[in-house]
Amino acid sequence: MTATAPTPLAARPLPAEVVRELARLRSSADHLRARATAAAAAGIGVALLMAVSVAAIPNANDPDVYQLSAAQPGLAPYLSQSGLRPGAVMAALLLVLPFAALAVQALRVGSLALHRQAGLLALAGATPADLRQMRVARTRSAFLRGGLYAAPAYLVLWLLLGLALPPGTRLLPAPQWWLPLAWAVVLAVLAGVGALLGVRTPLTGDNEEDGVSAALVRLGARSGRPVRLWWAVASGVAAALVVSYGIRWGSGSDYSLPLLLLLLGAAVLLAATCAALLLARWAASSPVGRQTRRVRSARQLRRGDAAVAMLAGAQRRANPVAAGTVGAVLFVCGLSFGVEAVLVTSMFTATYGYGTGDLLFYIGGAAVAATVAVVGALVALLALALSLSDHLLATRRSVAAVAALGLEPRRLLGVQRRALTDTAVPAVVSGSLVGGLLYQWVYVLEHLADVGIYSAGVLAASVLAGVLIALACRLVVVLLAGRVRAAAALEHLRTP
Amino acid sequence: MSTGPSPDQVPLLELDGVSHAYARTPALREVSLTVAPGEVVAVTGSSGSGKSTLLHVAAGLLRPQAGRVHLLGHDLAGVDATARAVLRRSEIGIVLQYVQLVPDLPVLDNVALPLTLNGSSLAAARTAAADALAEVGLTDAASAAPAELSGGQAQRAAVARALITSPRIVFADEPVASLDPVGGRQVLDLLRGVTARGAALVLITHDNTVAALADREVRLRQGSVEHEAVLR
Amino acid sequence: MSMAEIHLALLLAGPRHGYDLKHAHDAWFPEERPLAFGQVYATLARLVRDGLAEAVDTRSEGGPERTLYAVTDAGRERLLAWLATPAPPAGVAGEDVVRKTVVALHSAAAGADAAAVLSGQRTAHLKRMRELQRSTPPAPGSASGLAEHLARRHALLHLDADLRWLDEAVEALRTSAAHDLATHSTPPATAPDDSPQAHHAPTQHSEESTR
Repeated sequence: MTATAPTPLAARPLPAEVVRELARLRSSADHLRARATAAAAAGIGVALLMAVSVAAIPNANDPDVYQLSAAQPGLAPYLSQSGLRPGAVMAALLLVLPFAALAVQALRVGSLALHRQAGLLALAGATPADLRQMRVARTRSAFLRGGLYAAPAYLVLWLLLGLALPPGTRLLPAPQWWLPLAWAVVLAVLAGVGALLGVRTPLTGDNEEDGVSAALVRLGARSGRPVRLWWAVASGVAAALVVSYGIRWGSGSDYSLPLLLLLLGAAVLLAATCAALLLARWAASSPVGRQTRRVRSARQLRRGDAAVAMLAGAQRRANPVAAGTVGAVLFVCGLSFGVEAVLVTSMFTATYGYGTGDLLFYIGGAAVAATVAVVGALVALLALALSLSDHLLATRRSVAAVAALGLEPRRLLGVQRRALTDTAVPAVVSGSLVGGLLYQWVYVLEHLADVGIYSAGVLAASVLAGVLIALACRLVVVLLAGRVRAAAALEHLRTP
Repeated sequence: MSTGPSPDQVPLLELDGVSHAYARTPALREVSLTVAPGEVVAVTGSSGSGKSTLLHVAAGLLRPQAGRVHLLGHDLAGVDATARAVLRRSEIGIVLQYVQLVPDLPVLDNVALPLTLNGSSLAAARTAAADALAEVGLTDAASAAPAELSGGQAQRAAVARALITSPRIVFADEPVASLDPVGGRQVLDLLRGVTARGAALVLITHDNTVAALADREVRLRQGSVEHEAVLR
Repeated sequence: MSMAEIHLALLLAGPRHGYDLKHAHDAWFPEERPLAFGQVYATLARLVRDGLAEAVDTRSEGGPERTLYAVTDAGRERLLAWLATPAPPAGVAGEDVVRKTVVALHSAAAGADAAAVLSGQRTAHLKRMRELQRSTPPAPGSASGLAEHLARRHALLHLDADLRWLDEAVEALRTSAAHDLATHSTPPATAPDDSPQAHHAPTQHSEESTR
């Protein structure tokens, strides 16, 4: 054999049929990931369509901000009054948050298997660009599929929350001729977001260097380092907050209401981001010592509470992204609970200010807001359950090993419950306290009311929210019980 | 005792003073090695001697922290991840000890991977993969999932995939360590077959009977070449 | 037979009586049959005849007369030449491999490189194992073919066992060298073959002083 010039090593993009074939959903985790992602995308799409539809309700010519819209009769005042409408838009937009958190968790379903698969494909010669192409294909198609459900879902919601309700209380405007256009735009946005998430999802060692060997060798992959990205988001939102605050007080014009809402939205986002950061940090660093120190009595030790606390802490540590994103959403839901607590307290204490019609109006508003918050909290909890059950699947060997060492299934369920409540309860309670106390401060200043009663109301609401979310966690664990038992099956100890 | 390719042969692989460490633990220290066309080189040593790291560096899976690696005329220091992936799917074959088939793809598509990734049409790649599977006696397993194969069958499928591109050099890391003697023998015969067309085989093994199949032994100890001997 | 070379290696430590030689031999090869005195003296006589060893002194010290023997330069060369040739990878009769290895470990004083001896032995074994595996396999099915196959496998697996033992010997060699470095806190050895020397010299001195 003689010297030959080295072959040029240029890579071309993969043919579409190959990408399609390789990105095809095969395992049950693939299908769950795709379905959950599509559901999250559908949720985001519906929330966006709702926001657009509400925002597009036409005003009457009268400059009065509380003028009712004539074009869409029968709407609830929160939608028909142009001054209240931005609040409704805001509520719809806030619904995007829990669904976004769900999407983040959904994309992580089976991430360990995906990670390994990426390593194996790389071993067989897939370039980083090839792997990216496959990931983008998968996430984009899941987002698109979810987006396709958005408009039909909006129609169903309109039937339920619009047409089915008596005139004057309808919560969604009738679909307009431009709905398909808005749908198309939402689809394009979702496809873009999906593609972006596909590029961003850190599945392989994208620092190409050790990509293959790392994927093959280091199978105990941890999920992501969230902190840098989130600090960037937090500072961005903070900057937006400062700018809009400056505009608001600088102009003092009639645009102040939308600006105020923008300000409020930015503040909520900032709070959520900071909460996400703190919660993720807390989960990531949740020291075993602190978890176990709470277990003191001999009886608790005998029951294995120390082991449960330790395992739950380890589980949360292993997935700080889930704890952070989901915790942030739950924190925002808590904020809204706190604000409503103040409103409800004011209704029952300051009887002189309201006529019966007013009272109904406010209670109705608070109920709608609470429903939005509850939906958000449930979706967030679902996201957390999704991440936990995926974590169970990924760590089934260690779960099985722990079970083999003699931790009975009931205790394993306890680990899941503990991991869920340790994330969810502090997030909701602190959100409710922060939101309630802040709003109470503003409200008391404005109305010269009694601080004590409001504080008591906020406290009561926070405790209630904490209890409710703890119960919800128990419920989720009951739903997950089958998966926990499956993960603890001793046969997982045999397979490599 | 020492060796090297005859002067008329350009080495397929040349390692020169290669060092690598994981965190602070050195895995390879100043290792030099050449592999000539048609040669079977056994890299031996106890566990932790740096054998696998040597393979990962030589095959371009891992970038060494010091020293040079010339693989098939490419100086790997100047070759990015994409080009190294292209090299893997077109000119070199890699066989490892454990799972290397993508669990979700049927065996046929697994074997076809290097070709499909390299731009072949699915149909053409699958035809070639069917031939490659026939070569290793696995025609019946084409549509099976990798999990349904026995260890020996999975390893033969991995060999079929590694050989489907007619690579000029094949790296095998403990290819038979988890197989029984008969299955191991089949896999080794398949791998050694590449030398007939002038390709080289680098065999990482701790098993003396496997090492004794090579033309040359390079023995590692604590990351350094302890001894090198021609067995031919 | 390697008896002559083993006696030469036993004499490397310094002039010895036949009595000492026997005991030193039995200490080196505890698994083998103890050496008979008659065989020791017969071997020594042959070595002296061939100029490989010489009688250096005769003492009586009140008891029976004893002759001290020492190795000659020719004897040293003979020993090194023997060590440089790997034992035949026989497969079944592996004792020669053991003998050569043990002698190499004790012959650093004469300039023997134990590591090189072991690595040469390893190569010889691998070559033989390669032959056993590469030669055309006998026709399958026939009784003689099967017998030959089984005989080959027997040889191959025994050679493999030898090699594993050699690996352990290498490891032990290194460990003792490292141990030696640690206990004597000598400057780091420049080459692995320095260490056996450093290790064995003191023990040999102590043996002598007890006599």
